[in-house]
Amino acid sequence: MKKITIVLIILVSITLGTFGFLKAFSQDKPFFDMFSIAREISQGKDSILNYKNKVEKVLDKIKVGSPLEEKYFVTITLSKFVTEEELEKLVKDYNIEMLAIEGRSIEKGTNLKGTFFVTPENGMLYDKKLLLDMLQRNDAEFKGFIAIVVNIQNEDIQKLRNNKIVFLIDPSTDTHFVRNPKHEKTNSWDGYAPSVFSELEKNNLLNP
Amino acid sequence: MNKKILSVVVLILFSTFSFAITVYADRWSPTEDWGPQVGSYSPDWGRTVMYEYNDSAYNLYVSPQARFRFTEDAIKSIRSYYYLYYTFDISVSDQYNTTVSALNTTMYYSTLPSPHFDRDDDPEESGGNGYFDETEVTCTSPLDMCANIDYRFDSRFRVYFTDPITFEFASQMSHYNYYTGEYDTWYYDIHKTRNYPWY
Repeated sequence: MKKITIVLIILVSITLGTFGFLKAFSQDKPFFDMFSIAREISQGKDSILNYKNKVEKVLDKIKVGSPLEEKYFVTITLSKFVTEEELEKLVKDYNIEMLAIEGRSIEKGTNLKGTFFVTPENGMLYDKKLLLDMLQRNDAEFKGFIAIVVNIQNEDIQKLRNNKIVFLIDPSTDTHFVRNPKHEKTNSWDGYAPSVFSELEKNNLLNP
Repeated sequence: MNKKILSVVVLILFSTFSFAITVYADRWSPTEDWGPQVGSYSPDWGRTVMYEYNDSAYNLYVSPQARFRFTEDAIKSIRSYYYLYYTFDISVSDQYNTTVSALNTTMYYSTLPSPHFDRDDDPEESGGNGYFDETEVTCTSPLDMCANIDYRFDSRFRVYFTDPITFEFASQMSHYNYYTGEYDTWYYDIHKTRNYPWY
């Protein structure tokens, strides 16, 4: 009888211990890892569409489970080369707090693709003169904007999802879901999720 | 008497002119190249230059720039590291400098495929000094990297003083640290150091 009691006590403590450990462990959000995303989306057309589906499910979840005015730090990959006017309209229509803008350029001599990364400055969405100067220094031509890193409310995310100009709104680096030590300040682009535009180009997934 | 007035006028004109030149003129440093490197993943040819300019609000910037080419062997090496990613890094050698900073307001350019940009205020462990001394671009699709292509990285730092500093141009192989959530440097190869200002 004594033996059974001891065994029972041991069993109960092991069970409780495991339970407590698992609970503590699961409360810790995972770290954001952009390399694992990079590997995930680089396996061709299906992999990029699967990734989009996975992210869309997260957006579905916050649609019902999170307040409309809750803000998220997201990377929005556009579905085509976007002009300055289209970009300004997006910012206005969806109350976007712009943190950084990614764009495509083509080098004239070599046809080599270039990526520029600019931010709002001196009261402008980006400094057009400085950007054109930089492209000229590289003998490159402006092709269009391809992705933006922004803060945006849940309500506007849900509206923007239906706009064809957008391929993916990716909140993978947002601290609601992960720990992101790079992203210390909410008004900075540090620690942004990589855009998937290059994969769209490679797999002919761009909108005409 | 007339001569005196004339010389004063000339002097004023001259000083205004030289002031205008020092404040508003954009200028290029001489270029400096590097040759064969130690790291198997390093570009065996590269060229560095610095470009200094003002924005419309007369803030002073320096844009250290690099263009570089890989051999077939270097590309093979980069592709063979499954868990390591190629990063080109331009940073200030003195992490405690207060001369320049890579601001959140910025402008970068790269021809590396699928580039991801990053800046740091080192040393990471103690949180840095508020001046961001490191800028880097990581290629997130190494299978798209090719030999003998002109890859470029134009960085940008805001200049607060013109105290001398040194920029380092380096290649890194970075990996993701599961315990800290940071992208740590596994291999590091400095190709070139340049002093700023160069004039």
